[in-house]
Amino acid sequence: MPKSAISEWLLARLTSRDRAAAILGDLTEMAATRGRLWFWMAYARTLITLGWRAPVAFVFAMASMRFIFGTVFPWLWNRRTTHLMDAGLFGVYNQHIRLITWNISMVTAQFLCFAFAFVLVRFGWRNRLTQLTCALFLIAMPVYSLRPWFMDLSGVAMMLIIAAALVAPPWRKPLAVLAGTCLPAIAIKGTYLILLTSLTIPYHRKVFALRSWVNAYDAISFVLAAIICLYLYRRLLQRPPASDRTIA
Amino acid sequence: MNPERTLGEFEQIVLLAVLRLGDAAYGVTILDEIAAKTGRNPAPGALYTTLHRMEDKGLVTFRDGSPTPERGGRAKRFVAVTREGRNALASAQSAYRSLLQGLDLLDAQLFGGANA
Repeated sequence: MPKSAISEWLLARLTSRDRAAAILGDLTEMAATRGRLWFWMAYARTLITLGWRAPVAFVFAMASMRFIFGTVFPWLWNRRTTHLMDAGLFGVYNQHIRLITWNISMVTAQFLCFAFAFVLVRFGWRNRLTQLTCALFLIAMPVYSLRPWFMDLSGVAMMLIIAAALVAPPWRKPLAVLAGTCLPAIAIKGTYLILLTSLTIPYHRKVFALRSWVNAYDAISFVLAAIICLYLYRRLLQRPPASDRTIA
Repeated sequence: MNPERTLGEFEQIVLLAVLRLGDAAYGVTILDEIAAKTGRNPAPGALYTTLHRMEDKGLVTFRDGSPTPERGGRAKRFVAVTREGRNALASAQSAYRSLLQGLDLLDAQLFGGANA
């Protein structure tokens, strides 16, 4: 019967190693009466069944972002106040601090937008990670209105939700997965923005650089976020294998 | 009810098959039991994703058997239903039962429509 280390390795990429070994063992056992063709057909269908959600979730997340940034945010942008430096919830800030917090809020909202669409398709609505991401995503959205009062309120609400998730044990690990998913990607994007603003080139060339590199940096950030999300989910939120409980 | 504990139809079928098989429940026997009792032939991948999802929810648990040559030297993973799984299944089944009450649907099917 077919016995391949590569086929087991490939299955283990989509599930855990012990699950992959058991699946291949079952298929091998059943193939004794059903034949080699059945084995490979069943193996291919199992691969698709186990693995289709992650790539589809990634494509859906990218498409959702394109839709939101192409439709919803321009609508909000057209209704923005021209007084970004107006007093917020806690009064008037230093202009540099306001711009820094504005940039951080925008990038965070962008990755939450990606993360929400991704985890919704990959793990489903009933999953706590999806519900937490959805709550933070909805709270983060008002930052795109560019109204200082909304932005401050959104920031305070996010802090409260994060604090509540840290206090409540069932939500702690989903929060850790979400933080691990978004923070490295936000760091990459932030580094890129800082590098871009520190370039000593004329403004029109900066804009060109922004246009030509932003997609590549975004793609790298989002691929990294998806990979880290899947890895952390398996490590933190899936049940550990019961390999120590062996029976005769 | 906790939304994470609500069960889909196939999840209920798998849990019932596991309970019927007792200590002998693993991938191959579960597929055979479902085929024998329901006439369905579910794809192995569908069974594994369902089992893994229910394991993540804490509805089933696994224990490893010994490796056997007919499985290419791989161990069986025997499935058992946890107390949470039993409770979720009982809750789902009681919901079906209360919905069926007074309809005589099962009697009609079992006795050729005599009571329909």
